[in-house]
Amino acid sequence: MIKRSILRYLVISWIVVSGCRAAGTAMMMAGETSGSAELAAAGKSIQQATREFTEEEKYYVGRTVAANLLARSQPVRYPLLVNYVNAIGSTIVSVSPIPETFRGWRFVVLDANDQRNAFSTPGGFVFMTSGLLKTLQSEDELAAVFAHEIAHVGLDHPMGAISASHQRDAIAKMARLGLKTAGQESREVKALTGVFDAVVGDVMKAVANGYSQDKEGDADRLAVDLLQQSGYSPRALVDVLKRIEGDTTTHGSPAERAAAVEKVIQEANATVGIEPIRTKRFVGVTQRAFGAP
Amino acid sequence: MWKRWIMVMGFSASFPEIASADVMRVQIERARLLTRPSAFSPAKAFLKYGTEIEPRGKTGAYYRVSTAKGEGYLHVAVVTRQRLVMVQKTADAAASSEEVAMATKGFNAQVEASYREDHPDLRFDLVDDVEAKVDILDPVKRFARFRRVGKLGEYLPIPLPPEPASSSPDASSDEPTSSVEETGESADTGGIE
Repeated sequence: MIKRSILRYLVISWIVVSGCRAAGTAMMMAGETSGSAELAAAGKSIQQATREFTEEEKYYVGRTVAANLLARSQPVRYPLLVNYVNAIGSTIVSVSPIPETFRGWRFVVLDANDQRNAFSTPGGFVFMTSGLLKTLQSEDELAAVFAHEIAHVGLDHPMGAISASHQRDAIAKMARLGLKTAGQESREVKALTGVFDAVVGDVMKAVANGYSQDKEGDADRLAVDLLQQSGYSPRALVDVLKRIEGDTTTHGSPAERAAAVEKVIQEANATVGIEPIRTKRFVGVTQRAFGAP
Repeated sequence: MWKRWIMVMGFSASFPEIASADVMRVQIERARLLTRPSAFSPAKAFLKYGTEIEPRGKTGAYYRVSTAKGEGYLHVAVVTRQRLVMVQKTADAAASSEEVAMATKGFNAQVEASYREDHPDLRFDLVDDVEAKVDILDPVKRFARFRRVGKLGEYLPIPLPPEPASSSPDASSDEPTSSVEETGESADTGGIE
């Protein structure tokens, strides 16, 4: 009994000293080494309770947010346009902090002529409304919109919108689920579904309503970098912002953002011009998809 | 028995990183094993979710790794130190108990299926459709011609041409150059089928 008390004291002290996550991992190792299922399970529980969301979990949150957006507008299915926007998006994500997501990036044009907006979800679904696309005048401008949305995902802004309490709740429930056997799981899954609902709600709100001015600024700065690295003109982002200047957007004041982006471009000495061939194919693809303006 | 626990934990507390060792796991469904540590490098193979790797070095945002499929590079974002539960793929709510037991213990297809029961209005069918429409097994390879025609990515002319913003730069003579005509593309949709 004394030995058990000493052990418990040592374990708790050690967890505090060495950090919870490492402690959980080491307890799992100790449990596996000594053949103690109890210790291994406790270690796993601590490790789970202190972990972050995995790419797979972000993907399932993103899928659900995407399902929400697609309940409002249908995707444009014209194959040439589908390939075109995915080619542009793929070029930019290759130089982004997350070039590969759990099941790959997808770029979608939403059939919504009366809206000028763009969205991105965790896991790599990026949407642009046809209303916004028809406003744009070059491939580089289209790339600029995608670069901004990719930057939000690269900076983890959508998952960062989850409230602290929902995040704690989710991680704790996942940890509990990790200790259940198959037969015990259904009730825990139901509980996890409840918190999944709350998490999706938080992310959906941020994706649809936009982020803080600071986060929009951060996304613009990263977008400038992504555009330059991938070979598109960063100045196209300024052009897009000027083009939507009169809009009430979910992304902050376009005029203020354009001025800030201009400054970033000057400071970074970003110098990539627009290749005419890109603008030519932009016109060709969009005219085939939507008809001549 | 308890002495052994204390020894293991004491040792790992002294060297916190040793607790997680430097074993990493692929955390996406299919990671591209690159031939070079660069954004537009060709993939020499694909590594499945959960594949364990031990990085042997790091160049920028890429780990150098040695795998059963050969040596190569993986982007830091595709691996994790977290332990992952191998996933038995099932998007089906009526998964067998064995499949359920093997599912990831977090937000997964099982949780999505449960969520969908309460939200029949959401268009998961369109999400599936979007995923099916675009083959993204190897987008870097698939869209290489698109980048070449548009002078993007690895085909970006270097040194960079000077601004002005609205003018088009001249192509550098020693860089890969191509025109729509040269590649036999349709004149108005260069590099896209």
